[in-house]
Amino acid sequence: MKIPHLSLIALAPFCVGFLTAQPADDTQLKQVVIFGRHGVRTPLLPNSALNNFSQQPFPSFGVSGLGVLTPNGGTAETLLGGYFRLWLTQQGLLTGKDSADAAFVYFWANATPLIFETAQAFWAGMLPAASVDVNSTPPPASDPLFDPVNAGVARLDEQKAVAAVNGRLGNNPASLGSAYSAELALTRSILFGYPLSQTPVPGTPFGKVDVTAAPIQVTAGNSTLPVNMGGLTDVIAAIDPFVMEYADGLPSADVGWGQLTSGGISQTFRLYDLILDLEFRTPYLARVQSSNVASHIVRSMVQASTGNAMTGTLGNPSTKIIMLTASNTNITGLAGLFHLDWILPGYQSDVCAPSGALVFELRQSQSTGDYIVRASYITQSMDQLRNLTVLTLAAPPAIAPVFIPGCSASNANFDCPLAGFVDLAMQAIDPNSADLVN
Amino acid sequence: MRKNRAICLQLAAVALLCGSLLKAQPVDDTELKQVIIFGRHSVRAPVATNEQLSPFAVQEFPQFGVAAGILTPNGEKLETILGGYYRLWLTQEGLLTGNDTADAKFVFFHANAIQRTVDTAQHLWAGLLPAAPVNVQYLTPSTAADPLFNAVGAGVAQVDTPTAIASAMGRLGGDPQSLASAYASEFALIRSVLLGYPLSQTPPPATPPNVTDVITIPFAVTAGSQGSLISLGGLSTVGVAIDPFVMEEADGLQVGWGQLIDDGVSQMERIYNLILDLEFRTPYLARVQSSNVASHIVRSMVQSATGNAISGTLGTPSTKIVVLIASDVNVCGLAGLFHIDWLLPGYQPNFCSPGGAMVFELRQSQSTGEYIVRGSYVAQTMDQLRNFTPLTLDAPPASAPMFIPGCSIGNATFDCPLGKLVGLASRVIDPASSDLVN
Repeated sequence: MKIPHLSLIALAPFCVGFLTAQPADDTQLKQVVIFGRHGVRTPLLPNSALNNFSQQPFPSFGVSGLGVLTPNGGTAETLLGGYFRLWLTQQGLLTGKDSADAAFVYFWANATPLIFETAQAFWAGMLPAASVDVNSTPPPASDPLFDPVNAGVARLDEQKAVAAVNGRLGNNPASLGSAYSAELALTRSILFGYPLSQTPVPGTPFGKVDVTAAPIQVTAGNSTLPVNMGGLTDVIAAIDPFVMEYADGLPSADVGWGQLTSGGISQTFRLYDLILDLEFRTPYLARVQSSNVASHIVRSMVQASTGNAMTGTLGNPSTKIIMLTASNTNITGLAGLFHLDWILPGYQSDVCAPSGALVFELRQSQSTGDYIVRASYITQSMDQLRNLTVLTLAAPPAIAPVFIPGCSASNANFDCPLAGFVDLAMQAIDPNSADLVN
Repeated sequence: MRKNRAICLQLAAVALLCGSLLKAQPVDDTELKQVIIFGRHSVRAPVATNEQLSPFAVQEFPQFGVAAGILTPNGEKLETILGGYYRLWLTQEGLLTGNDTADAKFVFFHANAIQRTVDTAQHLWAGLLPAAPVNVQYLTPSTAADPLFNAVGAGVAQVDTPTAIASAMGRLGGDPQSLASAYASEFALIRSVLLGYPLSQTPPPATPPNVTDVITIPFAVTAGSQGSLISLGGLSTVGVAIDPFVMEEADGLQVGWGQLIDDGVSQMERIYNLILDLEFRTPYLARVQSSNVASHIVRSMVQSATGNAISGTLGTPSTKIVVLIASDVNVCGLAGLFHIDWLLPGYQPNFCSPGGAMVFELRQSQSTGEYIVRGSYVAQTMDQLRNFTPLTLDAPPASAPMFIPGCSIGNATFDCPLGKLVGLASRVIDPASSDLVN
């Protein structure tokens, strides 16, 4: 950025015309892989614990249980499934005969009730007349696709994990405190209930814990997180309910105690995005944690294109729709492995919203027979979630076409030749962190 | 490792063992053989003239006493202070002897052709080797396209403009305007400073006549010019309008007409960082723009390690210190090519502050003879810049050791074996975007 680009305004119309002049799309959808996050859920900590972090008590979601799908979350997920039904019918993968179509559909979900029920709710929207059929790894075993380290498929070198994260932070994670001071200040003002503009800021209320003051550090992780980010994990626990309060449709007075708009939620969630980035997008961690799911996705597309059964795939050669349901950590990790980015209106970059999904379409050119992959990130907007907006082809969820670095072409759909995607996957995937189990 | 740690948590005695295992790094028996310092120019006047900037603000921008884009006298002094620090460090490491004229034979300085980078390099030299005549290589005239720092302009790298546009568009869901809501708090801060009202004022006042509200100019991704391969429409204009603030702060001037304190500048710089990230870290753009400088850096280290002259290097096999001075765009692009991140106190992640440099140390183990590379990002803090703080080994500039993904091991200094770095470089560097010219 050296010189003002003001003189370029005249060039802009040319570029728009150029971008519009794409060759006709003669591709046909052959298979779709949908990798989605669970729907709107209750907070992960009980209010008795969360209330230590806030001046006022956290609101009730009216649902018993921690980290469970709310009724509205289930409804929103079924609405999303209904949208995919319309889209995939238009694309010719679904016929309207649900029971017959179900033979070409493969659902795999993490086994936790939150995620398993999300997959069931999606199925209910996509194939309402067919009996639900969702695969999972029976607990207490860990899922090899979504938790390959605990499942024994991948091995995490903890010392290297800590180094890989510390080495993005100059060995000084506490520096995040000043870099994110605006978000931490906003978070504190919401939790302790004072205007952000108040100076000096009030002290910590008696008996409460100021999560924004806890030291941020990087140490060895636990069974769910590859590294422990110290105080940053407490901040995440404290702000985790806000998105869910909004998306679940709680009264405005119960969304951040009436202090948070969707824009404010989005800003506080930069801290959430930060921890996901550090824990799951850090290249070493993405490679360990996401190679297995990446391998299975790519191999499944190869299997569909050749028609020959292969190991390490999901479904069989005739499977047309693969639905994987897991957590934001899993989707973030896969995106990190391939350096995929997206942004949708109202969200921060790379946010995995409740129910949102990374979608890979395997398409075949009708003129050349070539197979290509198109990626997109599809999610309901915060208001579509909150309002349980019915989704149609004319009123779709938010859709971000995603460029796949090292593969996508420059056309409007960022088409990535399947062979190029396979080459890229072979560079990105760690064979020691993936298996060939179906 | 996971299982080992689980035992640590259960058994106090083993936990102690594991704790000491983590701390027990082998003694560092490496010796510095060569250092490559890839720095940004120091403090300069804004790149746009005050006449060009004046439509963007209600008040006149301050005078820096030098023409647009020229290094300030303070910037010159600061760079010499930084050079003095490198002198102390490299003397301690044995690369400098105190005999400047003799040492100068093993030093190679190359700067981009523009005034601020040449002047920066010359002043860094004055601090590093005060008794030796300054010897900085650069192209003439100042408009010349340097193959290392403007590889496309120099004809070394070819850019496919539609792919350049698609690669950035495909990180933004095809809709750059989504950035307006994602960065709403930064744009609100920017508008309040440029238009001179308190950020907390609601509703924000209308734009006065004769003032251009830069944050309302539509964002776009179009073909670039002038050293960037893409232009970002209104976002580029915002970048121009906020460019003066960091320099005001670093040059000791009043910042943002007194409305911006440290964290405010840092928060605003997120927009500048966003522009750099899109234009220079986007994988395709990093590969086109930064492969040539990456190739020269890695080949120079190989040349030094083997002692045999090879093409496409900087200096000779006996060169001990290589200094490259260019712009933030160049440093940012090289970091993007290797997916390297850093964070220093008071700055945003990956911020290239005035005078800041990526530093690559080529070191040799005295026991095994093995060559390793250590990366770090070294920069004066904002206070060190504002206060002309003398820098010593006891009071050094800020330094962030960097983990090099795909190469660094898990030790405390993130050592990256040279052989592994060469393998990594051969994967990330585009041979069609680099040359073998010395």
